[in-house]
Amino acid sequence: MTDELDRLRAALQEAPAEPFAEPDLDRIIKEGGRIRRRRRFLTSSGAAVAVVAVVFGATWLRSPGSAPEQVHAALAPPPIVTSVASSTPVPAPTSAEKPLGEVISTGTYTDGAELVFYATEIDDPDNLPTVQFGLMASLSEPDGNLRPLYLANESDGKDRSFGFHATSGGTTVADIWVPVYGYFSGPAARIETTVDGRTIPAHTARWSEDPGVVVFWFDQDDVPSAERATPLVAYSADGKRLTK
Amino acid sequence: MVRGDDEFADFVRSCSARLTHAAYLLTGDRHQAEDAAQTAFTRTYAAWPRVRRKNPYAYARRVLANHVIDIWRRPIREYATEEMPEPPKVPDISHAVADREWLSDALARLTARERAVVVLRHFFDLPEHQVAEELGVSVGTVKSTNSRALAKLRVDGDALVGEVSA
Repeated sequence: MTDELDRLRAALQEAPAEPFAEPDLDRIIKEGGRIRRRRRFLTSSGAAVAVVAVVFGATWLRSPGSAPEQVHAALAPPPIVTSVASSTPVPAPTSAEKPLGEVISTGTYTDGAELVFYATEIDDPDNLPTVQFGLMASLSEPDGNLRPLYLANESDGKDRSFGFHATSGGTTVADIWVPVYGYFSGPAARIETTVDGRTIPAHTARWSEDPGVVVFWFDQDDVPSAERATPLVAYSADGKRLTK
Repeated sequence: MVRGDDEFADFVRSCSARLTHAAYLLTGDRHQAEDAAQTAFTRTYAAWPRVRRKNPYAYARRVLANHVIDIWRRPIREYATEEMPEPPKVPDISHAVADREWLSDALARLTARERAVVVLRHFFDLPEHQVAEELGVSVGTVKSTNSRALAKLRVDGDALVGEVSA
């Protein structure tokens, strides 16, 4: 009973057979100092928005007017409520995970860098023969570099079959909040979920490479985890429900 | 070194063994564990002026857990399955507890998030709400993840399942 759980805990506490290597303190201070200086630079360059962060105590900073309106499911569905997407010229990314098509802006900033989404190629014919792309959450830094944070992709079936795919996020990566996001393959004009009985509209944007793919994401305050984003519902432009 | 570095060095010396041990439980690999601990300390140093008077140990622990989860997610996200795997080989409970190999095999059956919950909850002995806070998930998610992980480890409820009669 409880003893067994205690035994598991004891096993976890059991010291390793050989001691681990000591951390390299000099390298920690050197690399950590570099990160610290870079953050200071970004913070100072983003001083105007930093004030907003202090006032509202929010991790994520939202550009004016980007906050979603609450929409009740019973009402006639309006057009896309919170689409703030726009195309942005894409500078050279800092990693091999290059964007396929245009980068999707969100108007949401942290540490002076903007959260963006973009599709990126997946080439894994052995394990994922029907998946050609995934959706990267990334930071677009003031110098134009992209800093990938989190890649979500279909892992079971075709990446463009009708319906929701790769719903993920709702987590912190490298101290950066990655919102709940994913994509819908189909003619979705509006995407919603329900959290604690409240209908929450998603921000949406169409993928430039395939307008039949609609990228969506939620604000952190509205949808704190992917598990709570249930059910996801997509509507067409004329208000018809596309998913059960 | 600048002001505060001596204090940071003392901090690293005081908790590196435990954090690296946790990293090993999270990764199952010594080298990955040492790298992950190094990364956690690097990011903690970067945030040191902000966290040194709060709880730097908790900060480093949170960075470590989320960093390891992040590593496991790339490049292809792993989706947890609801199907329970076949029972692991548990030759004898009294031996299994002391058997590092068994523990390593058992933890390898878990997803990154499940491992993180098990380590934070049962290695660091954190309450559920703190595990939730450190992983950025709800308390309900911690409960369900912990339950699923223990079921996979064949710790069903409080009792190890699959035990061989002693």
